[in-house]
Amino acid sequence: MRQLFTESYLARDSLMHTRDPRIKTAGIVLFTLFVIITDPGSFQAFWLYGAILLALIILSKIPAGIVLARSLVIVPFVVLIALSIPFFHGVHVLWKHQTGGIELKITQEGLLIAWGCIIKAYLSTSALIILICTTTTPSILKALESFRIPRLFVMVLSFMIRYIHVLADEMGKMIQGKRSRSAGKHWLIDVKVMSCIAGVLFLRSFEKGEMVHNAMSARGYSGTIHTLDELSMDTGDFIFIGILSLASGGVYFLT
Amino acid sequence: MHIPDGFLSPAVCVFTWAVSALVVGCCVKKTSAELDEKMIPRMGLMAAYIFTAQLITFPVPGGTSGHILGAALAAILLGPCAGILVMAVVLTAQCLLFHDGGLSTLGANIFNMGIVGITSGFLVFEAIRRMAGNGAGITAGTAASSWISVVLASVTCALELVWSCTSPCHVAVPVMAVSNAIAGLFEAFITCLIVNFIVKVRPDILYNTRQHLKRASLEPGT
Repeated sequence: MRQLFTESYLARDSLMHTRDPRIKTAGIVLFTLFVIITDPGSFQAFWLYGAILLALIILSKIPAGIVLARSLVIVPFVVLIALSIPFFHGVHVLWKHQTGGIELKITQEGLLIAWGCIIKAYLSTSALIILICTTTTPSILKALESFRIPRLFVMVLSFMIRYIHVLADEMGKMIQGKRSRSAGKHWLIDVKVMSCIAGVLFLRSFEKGEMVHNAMSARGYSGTIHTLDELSMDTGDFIFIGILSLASGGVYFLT
Repeated sequence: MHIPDGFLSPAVCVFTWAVSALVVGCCVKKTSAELDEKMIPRMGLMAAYIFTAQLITFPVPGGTSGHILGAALAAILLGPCAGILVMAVVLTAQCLLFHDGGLSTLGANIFNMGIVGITSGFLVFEAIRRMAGNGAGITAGTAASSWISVVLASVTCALELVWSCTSPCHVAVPVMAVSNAIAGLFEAFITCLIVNFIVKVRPDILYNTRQHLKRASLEPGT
């Protein structure tokens, strides 16, 4: 399964890692908002956003390569955008081709839309990757809760994240068992067996939900989870959010 | 089908975020009233299950493999409200932890795959099940609802792209609709096999049969 690839970077100690999760999340959300409302035509702005991200990467001491590799998840949509380029209407035609009844042309406007989408997707995804590489999942969940997201939602999310690995392990074992017993069968049989595995996994997780709840009640769970670590902000946090919002806001308004 | 940041215009982002927040908020309210707080672990595990089910790669003839969207599966197994909540949780986790889909487009993704996918899936499933009865109705309903939920979710996604002027209408809609109409057949086949297996082993576990049992146990003398 897809491991939480970021886990190995969470233990590092840097200026980014020690910031309050609420501040970091708010900062990244703010940065993303500025990026997506920027006009695709202002090329300078995107370079400067990139510079801000680079500064964040250096501050957080995570390898830049991992951010680059991970942000490739946007590729399928880049393909769709690339397919649409020849169909945009525009005034400045750079290339034209007539096949059958369909007219294909590459216009400046079309290229600009595609460029805007790709660069914005890339910058925002990288920003999110930096956040995940420097913040533990429980503290992100705490930050979400302090942003007034319904408690039920955040708790379901936390249970889900906790049990993804358990279920994925269980699924991996079943698939391994299947592989070792039924090599080289027709693909239809393969699909049927895989579906049964998915079904078994559902029944097991349904029953596990009950068991988890019983175990929690036995330990005094009454609907709320209490933890010891409280979030606290210091001057460094305020300086961080101040600089980040000034920088990204400055790029948006000045370019 | 997870739209990344930047592919939707700010207006579309704001609109879809508002609609999704409203609907998911209502589902949270309704689910907590219906299920009481103690069901939270079970909902979490169901979300983890839908997430894991999306990771299973099924072999496809021709040497490739594919995975399912799971919206119709969630709708059939959990019902509309819990289904939308679970899908919203799954999509949020995919956005935050695995970077599938962006932060600003999370509202749109929840709208497409959660709200549209689950609602259409559930309505079609219920309609066919009521018409054809519990035996063949479940199989036919599962197949139809999975196909329709995938196609509708992808068409909504395409329309959002068109509305944002990211992709012209005569490209985005046919590309998304045709590719997902084919992918939907696969989804329908797999979901049918999974649901049939579950019905065979634990017929009491589907959402509608659970509701039925609940109602029956409330009536005196049963």
